[in-house]
Amino acid sequence: MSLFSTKSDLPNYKLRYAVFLGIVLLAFLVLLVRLRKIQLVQGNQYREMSIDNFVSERRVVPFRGMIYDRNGSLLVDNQPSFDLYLTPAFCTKESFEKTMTRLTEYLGLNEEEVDKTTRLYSNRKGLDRFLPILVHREMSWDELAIVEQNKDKLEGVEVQPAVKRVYPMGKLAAHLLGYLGEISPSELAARKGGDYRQGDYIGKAGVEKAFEKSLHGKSGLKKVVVDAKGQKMPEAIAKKILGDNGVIVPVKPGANLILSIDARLQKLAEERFPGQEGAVVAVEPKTGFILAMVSKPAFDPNLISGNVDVRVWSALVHDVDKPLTNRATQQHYPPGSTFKPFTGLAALSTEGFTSETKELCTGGLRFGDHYFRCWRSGGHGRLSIHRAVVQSCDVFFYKAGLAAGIDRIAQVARSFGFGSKSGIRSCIEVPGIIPDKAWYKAHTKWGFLPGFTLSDSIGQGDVNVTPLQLAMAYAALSNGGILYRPQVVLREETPDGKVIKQYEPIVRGHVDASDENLKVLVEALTGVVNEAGGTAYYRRPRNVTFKAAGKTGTAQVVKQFADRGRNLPYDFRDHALFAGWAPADDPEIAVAVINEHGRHGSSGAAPLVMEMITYYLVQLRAEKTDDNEDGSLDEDPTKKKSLGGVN
Amino acid sequence: MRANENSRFNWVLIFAVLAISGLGLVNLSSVGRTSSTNLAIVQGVWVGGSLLLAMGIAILDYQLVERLAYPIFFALVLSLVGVLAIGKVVNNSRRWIGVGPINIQPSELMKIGVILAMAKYFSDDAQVSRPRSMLSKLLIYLHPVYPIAALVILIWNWNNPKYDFVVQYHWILVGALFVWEPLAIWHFLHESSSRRAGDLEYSTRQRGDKTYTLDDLFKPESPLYGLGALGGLILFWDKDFMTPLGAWRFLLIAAFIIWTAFSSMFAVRNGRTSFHDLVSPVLLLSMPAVLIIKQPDLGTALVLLAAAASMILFMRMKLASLIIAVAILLVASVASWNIVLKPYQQNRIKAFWAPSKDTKDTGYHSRQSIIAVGSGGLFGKGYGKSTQTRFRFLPEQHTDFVFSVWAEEQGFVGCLVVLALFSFLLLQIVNIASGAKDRFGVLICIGMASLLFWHVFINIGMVIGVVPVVGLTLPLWSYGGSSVLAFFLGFGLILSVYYHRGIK
Repeated sequence: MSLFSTKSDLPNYKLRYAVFLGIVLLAFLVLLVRLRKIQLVQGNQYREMSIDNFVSERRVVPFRGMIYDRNGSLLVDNQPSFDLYLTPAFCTKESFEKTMTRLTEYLGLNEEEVDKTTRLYSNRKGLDRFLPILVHREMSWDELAIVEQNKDKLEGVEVQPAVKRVYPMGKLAAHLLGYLGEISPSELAARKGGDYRQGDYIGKAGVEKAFEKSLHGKSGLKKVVVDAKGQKMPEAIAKKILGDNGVIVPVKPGANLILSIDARLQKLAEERFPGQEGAVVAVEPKTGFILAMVSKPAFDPNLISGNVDVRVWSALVHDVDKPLTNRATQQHYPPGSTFKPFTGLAALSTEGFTSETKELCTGGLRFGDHYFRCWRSGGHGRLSIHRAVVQSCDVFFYKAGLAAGIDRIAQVARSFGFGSKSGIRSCIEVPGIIPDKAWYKAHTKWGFLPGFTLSDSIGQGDVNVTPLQLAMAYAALSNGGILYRPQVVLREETPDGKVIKQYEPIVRGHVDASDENLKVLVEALTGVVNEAGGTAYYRRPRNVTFKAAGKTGTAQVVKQFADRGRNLPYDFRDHALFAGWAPADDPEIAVAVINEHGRHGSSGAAPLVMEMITYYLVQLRAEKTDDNEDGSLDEDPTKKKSLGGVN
Repeated sequence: MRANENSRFNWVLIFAVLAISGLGLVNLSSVGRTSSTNLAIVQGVWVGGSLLLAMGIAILDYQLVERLAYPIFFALVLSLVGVLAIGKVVNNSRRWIGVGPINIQPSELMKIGVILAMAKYFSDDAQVSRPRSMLSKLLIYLHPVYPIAALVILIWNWNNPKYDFVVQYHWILVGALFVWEPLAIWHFLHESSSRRAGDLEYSTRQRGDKTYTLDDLFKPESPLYGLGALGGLILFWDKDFMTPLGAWRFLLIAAFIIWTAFSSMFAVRNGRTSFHDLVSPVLLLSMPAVLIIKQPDLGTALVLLAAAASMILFMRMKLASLIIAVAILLVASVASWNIVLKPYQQNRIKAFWAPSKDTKDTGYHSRQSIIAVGSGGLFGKGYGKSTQTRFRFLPEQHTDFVFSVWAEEQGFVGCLVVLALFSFLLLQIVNIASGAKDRFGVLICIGMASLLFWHVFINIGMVIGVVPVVGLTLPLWSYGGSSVLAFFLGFGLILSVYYHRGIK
């Protein structure tokens, strides 16, 4: 060993030990000072921050109300669905592309979804990266299963439950029910401060739109416990930690709507509709509630509600047949002969024109330099108003129109609701046109010419009505002259069946016609169906206890055409109309049918009206009285129970 | 001075270590509730096994370890090279080597290796020899520069496929291997023999006769290492991972050479550590430091250097040398900002100095940890009730941030208890150091105490936001077998120092 003992300088280390320990204690003191500051001085502040960390307030979206028909059949339902979200903060740049490729493979994302997600992903900065991006809506169960199986390969992907609007009966009453869509910026701006957020669904048409307020309910606010990745913790844990159920503002579910329509009647009307385009409206004459409303062609709201495929949407919008248009309220039609009762009432109300007044029909009427034809070129001979209605004589009504004058006809027609919107809440309406002298002055180059009265008298010329107006006017004819406002919703109910609001019939006004004159017309219209020679005589319901009443109509699309035979091109063919009610003396249902290019009212429209009336008054009545014997109802076309009457 | 003069085991130390480990296990079992495997039980097995090993080491004479200090050190350096070559990657770091079913983290064991090497070097000061002629000075002092610099360059470019060192600088290496190193060895042996003849001129510190033993061949200044490293370098050579030598790297080597030559002029004749005496330790330390930073594991590298620096300071330095060393250290750390630190490491440090400018991404860990600690208050939320843990707001809650769980659940009082226990443990280690029979024993204790201190200070400081987040375990608390094993090996050596303290 060396000369110096290695031990010899060890005693000199005492000071070094002291310095070493001094430094250690000083350093630990620094830690303690800091610990005291954050734990004791700022402890409460940090405690709040730690609570803020895991408690987050989430909006609870209300359950949208469901829609039933008057018998409780489910027309619009909610089904659980799943939306897929991606949180940029939990998905690194490298894995983003891979994740998107996988998602495209699993879910078949379209280009729009991929583009939108990619754009949002790269635009999000800082804290915004923790906001989830909605990638894909309404995954199927299969898609959900694939995503859940591969979740570890899909960074930052999260599935959240959502509700999908479902129309279990497909196209049934599509125009009336409407559909949902994502709220547009303008709609959002109009409801500023309201209960809507970007990306919410809102009613876009029909009852869904008109009763949005009732159906939507009111969002709640709830505290939820989340972990660092924003994943919601189970309810049990949340309850334990929050000490209560965390409700800040309770959610108020939307009201269920009970519609006045009868799904079975609606279905019958849709299935038995004889043409390709047109409309059917059935109402209760004594209340104004709608029993059925059909517009052909229709669309399937399931396809355009919610997650819309752009191609499907644009195909619908650009379809020349305009399936999105509700022909029952949005389309002007010349009423044709169905307008004659109103010309008749106008004439009867004038001095010197009575129910006994007879006119001669020789197959036409020369007026000025123009020859106005009757549909029967051989003429009807001399007839009074009763037979003129029954046989639908044009010449009689030319003369009646001339007797009443255009302004009087317009006055009477307007009192029946023509020429103005009916006031139905659920549909977009056009007002129709009932021309008078003032109207011609405003709308034509030459102003009113006397010849206009003739064509307007038989529902041609410039008279335009909607099928709904026609049905309401005939309802008013049948019920003794009360014009109701058409309504679709009978009542609103809470999810557990308590009635919130009952809708009562609303009287729009009383028609401008005396009771005697109305009676004359009711009898005449009953004759149309029940007297030999009546234009709908062969269409009358057989083997029934009630009598139907109504009027055929054949509206010219093209004014004069040499050949009105079978070879006429489709677009030039006449519209077939029928408007009527039953029972004739105590009306329970009034129906108007317009079958575009259906040629003749008696063959193209009357059979459907009679079928509907019979079905409504006979079969459905029978079902109602013996509800228990359900096996016998195999002809019931709408025998479909509610698909998921979840309350 | 000692409470129990007759006992050979220091039960007080064992008690302190077990108390700390016990609380750590309690805390881990709370953390482990969010994990699938039971961390506390696995950790408990490691603690138990390591304790037995430590008591075994206590009985062995640590002077055996003293003789093997350098070979142990270099073996561990080799294992670190192995980690870079075949190690497992976890969380973007290559730190583990699989040995059978368990994964060993050699960088943890390296902490003990560094303490041993430093202790050995500084307890050997009586045998420092000084070459006489300028030529032999250059040969002796500069010989490790070549292989070490080459090694540094090699490691730095490990993953760079374009490195073509061989083509451009092969003559330097060949020259070093076949000319320099044989010359150095020849001189080394020649001077030793002349020293043996009693030529006191070489010894600057009056060491008396120098008996040259086989031990000397394992000293860091022994050319043997240079030869081995160079040979290894050539053996492992593969053109594929070489790239053109950057100008700055060449400057680095030049700086090494100039500094080494210059430093020999500072040789002084008193007992304090001079600049000259730092040459070998710095070269020694640079090897594990570079290898560990490369993993990357900044925290471990820093704590290694901090512990070694503490030991050097404990041996005291000349004021002038200290000032120069600190100055060089500062310049080097600034210069290495871009070279050594990865962007995320830079961000963490930036986030620490300017938290207001930070986005959620970088300072998130630190802030969540502070929230956890702060929300604990005086008495804490109670065992198992850490919301920060349960909802995974705390990162690395079972390793680096294990203390914030404790602080949240046990509050200020709990923190006080832990700091008190660690203080007591450090006091006890220093107490054992003061009774050691030789300088190697003292230095082992001081080295271990320094290592423990820096670990605790940096880790808890990081958790409560007084130190930037560097990624470092809390001794005996953080989950990890290698870390536990390393510290218990250290405690074993301390126990051995006590066991063989002799009687004064």
